[in-house]
Amino acid sequence: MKSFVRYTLAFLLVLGGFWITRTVMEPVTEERVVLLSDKKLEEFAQRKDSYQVIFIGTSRVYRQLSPAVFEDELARHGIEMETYNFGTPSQGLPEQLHVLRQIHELEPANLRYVIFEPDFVQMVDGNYLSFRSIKMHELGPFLNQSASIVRSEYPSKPKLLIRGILATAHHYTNFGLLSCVVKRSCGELVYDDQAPVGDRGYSPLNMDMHEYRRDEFLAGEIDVIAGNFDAMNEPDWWPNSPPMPEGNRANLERFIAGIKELGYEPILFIPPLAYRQYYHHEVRKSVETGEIDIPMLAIRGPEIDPEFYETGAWFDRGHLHRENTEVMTRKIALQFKDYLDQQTAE
Amino acid sequence: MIFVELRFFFFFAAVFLVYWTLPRNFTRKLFLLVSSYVFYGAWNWKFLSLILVSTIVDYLVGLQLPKAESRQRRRGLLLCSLITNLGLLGTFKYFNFFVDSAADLLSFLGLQANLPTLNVILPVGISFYTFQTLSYTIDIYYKKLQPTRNFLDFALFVAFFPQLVAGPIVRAAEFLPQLHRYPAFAGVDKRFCMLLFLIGFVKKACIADNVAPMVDEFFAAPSTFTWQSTWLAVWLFAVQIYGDFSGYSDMAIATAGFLGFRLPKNFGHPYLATSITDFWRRWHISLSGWLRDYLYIPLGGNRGTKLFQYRNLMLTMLLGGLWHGAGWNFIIWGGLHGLALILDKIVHGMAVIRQSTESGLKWLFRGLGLVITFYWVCLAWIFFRAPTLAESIPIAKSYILLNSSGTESLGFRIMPSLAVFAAFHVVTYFQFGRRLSYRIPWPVFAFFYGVAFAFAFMLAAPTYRAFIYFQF
Repeated sequence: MKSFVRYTLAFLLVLGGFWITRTVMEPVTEERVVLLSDKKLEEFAQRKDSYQVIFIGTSRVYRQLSPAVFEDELARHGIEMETYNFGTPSQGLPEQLHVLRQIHELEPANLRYVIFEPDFVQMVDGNYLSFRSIKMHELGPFLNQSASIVRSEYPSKPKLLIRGILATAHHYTNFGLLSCVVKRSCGELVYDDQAPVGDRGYSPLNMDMHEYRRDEFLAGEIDVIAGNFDAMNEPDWWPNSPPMPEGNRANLERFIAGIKELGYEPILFIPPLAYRQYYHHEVRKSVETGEIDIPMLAIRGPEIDPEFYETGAWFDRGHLHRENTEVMTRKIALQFKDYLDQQTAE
Repeated sequence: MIFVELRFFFFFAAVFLVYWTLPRNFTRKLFLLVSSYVFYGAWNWKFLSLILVSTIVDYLVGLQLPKAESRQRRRGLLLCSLITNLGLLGTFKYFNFFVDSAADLLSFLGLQANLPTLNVILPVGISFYTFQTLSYTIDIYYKKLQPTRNFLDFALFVAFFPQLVAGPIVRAAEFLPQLHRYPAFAGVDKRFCMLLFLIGFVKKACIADNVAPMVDEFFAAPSTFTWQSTWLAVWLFAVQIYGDFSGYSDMAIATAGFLGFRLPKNFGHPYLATSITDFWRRWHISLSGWLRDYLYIPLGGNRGTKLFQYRNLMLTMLLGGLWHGAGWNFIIWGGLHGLALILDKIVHGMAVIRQSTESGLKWLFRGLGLVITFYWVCLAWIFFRAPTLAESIPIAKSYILLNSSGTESLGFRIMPSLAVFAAFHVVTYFQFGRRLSYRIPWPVFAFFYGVAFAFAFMLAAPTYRAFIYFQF
């Protein structure tokens, strides 16, 4: 018994030494992790009462929905509104809701519409990106979020929790100081979430950002750089997205309810996709058949919007070129205008 | 699953807690065996079948060998073990290499041949556990060891997870007796294991993984760098591979130690070696011991004429090179070490040198020996690291001739890494930390261990890499 107490005490002392060092050293290292969502919140807070609409979602929102173009298209139809883009790469629904709550805490007086992309948590080995905005890598937020995950109906609850535990442990252990010093001297960034906030949260992809075969592209020898678009060459590729896993619909509905609880109006955004793996098409079909009751702004496939489904239209398999994102933003803005007209008529 | 991964920490915490609460030796061993299979299966469970085949065949051969009366039958049984183990190794590791080499030879002779190759991946750790089981049957064949009748013991000897995938290569005579006793946690040298694990972690995660990107940068386009950068990059690789492999060995020994097992030492500050012979007493000690006992001595060892001895040395090192990887690069790496060992034998055989090394000039000779040894070891590392033989040659030329048409430079940014490594090498050599750790009260030790680990994590590379020796 005496030994047991001694070993337990020793173990706690090891943890204590670790934790104290980690806490004391944090100011030296915390600047390494700058969350894109924090940067956006900071910018948003400066003019928080000006915005009526926000976009939120993954990089397909961050890189493809331009507030300036959106507002310009609305203005052409006599509607004056200001918008902000809260898209962040790999930002799934749990993260989006977390960011929305942070936005809500800023008390934006005129915010009404939340245009969101229905991306679910992506479980990719070694990808901690899904935990950034939620800050599941920090103990307090992680515990809060874990409690909400336990209460929720996420289809991969245990996996999500394990990822959270690993991300938390990762954050409390490896913050790579030496590597950071070495890399800084090389002039490299450590995390890609230090990407630019851009124009009110929007940061498009330019072809010259590509490293892979960039020279050939700039020389005009090839039209498109990245990606394998084989799926798009099969005749029936578009309707063939996989069926949603059990529970995803419940999560989506829970998310929609979460937006409404905060007092905002949720609007679904379906971007064009050259990937089959995503569930966007399934969600779109569910809205079209009335299974999910929510307004939707959507790019509805190659038959209706063929210009977005040519391989040359894409930066890579997930994102359009800058020029095409502007065309797409205008289409979405027009659909939003129609929705506003319809609301007014009702 | 590797030792610096977070999931290993969770895995080991669970194994450690359950293991020490199990009441009987049998249940502990069974639990360790299952845990070892889980550990290996986390990489690829399908290849567990290879470990099982090796285990069952060698267990049965081991049982039958003492019963066999005729020499012919004994040889047949040993052959059965050799064919099984080397057959697995040959199929998964060397088949494609030999086929490709044969095709190249035929092509050189002007003959075209479309030889079949296998589309297989190399099972992690196959070279290590194969050598381990082979040593078991060979020792029984030579009547140096009694076989174990306990299958569980033998299976655990083959698959014991701390050293399963990258050694140290353990002999049955060292390991099996440890399974006969019921270890008490009080008997574990906790401070030693904790320090050794920390040292191993620092070597791997803080040193090897931090210098790896710079090494990769150089070897991706070596011809674009200056000859000075060639030197620095080769030194850095020497640092990387030592940190990587000896770090793994330290963590393996510490992990086994936490469970009450002793594994043999695998490294002894190899870059402080004053000759190539000395280097091989300090580098991958368990492999060099294996090669000596099961290859060099059976080939004739130090018996016979000088020329015969040199042949044995060269053959051993060439096969040692081939053990590391199925490629001509590795054979040349082994050949360079074989050549250096022969030269070392010749030089140390000279009376004038012998007298000088025993005189007042011995420090000068040792210093000179250290520099020459490090230079040669680094030259050999070029062939070890470069992806192909064709890419190795220009790097080796630049290293030897101090000449390169490249203009890129790795610059001074690598100096901190080299300085950290050199300091660490010296500190661990003199064992300052270890001696101090035994003098301080346990609560202070525990607290500062936590502090030290926090710093180690801070200095660790943001992304871990698989251990280099896993591929062997």
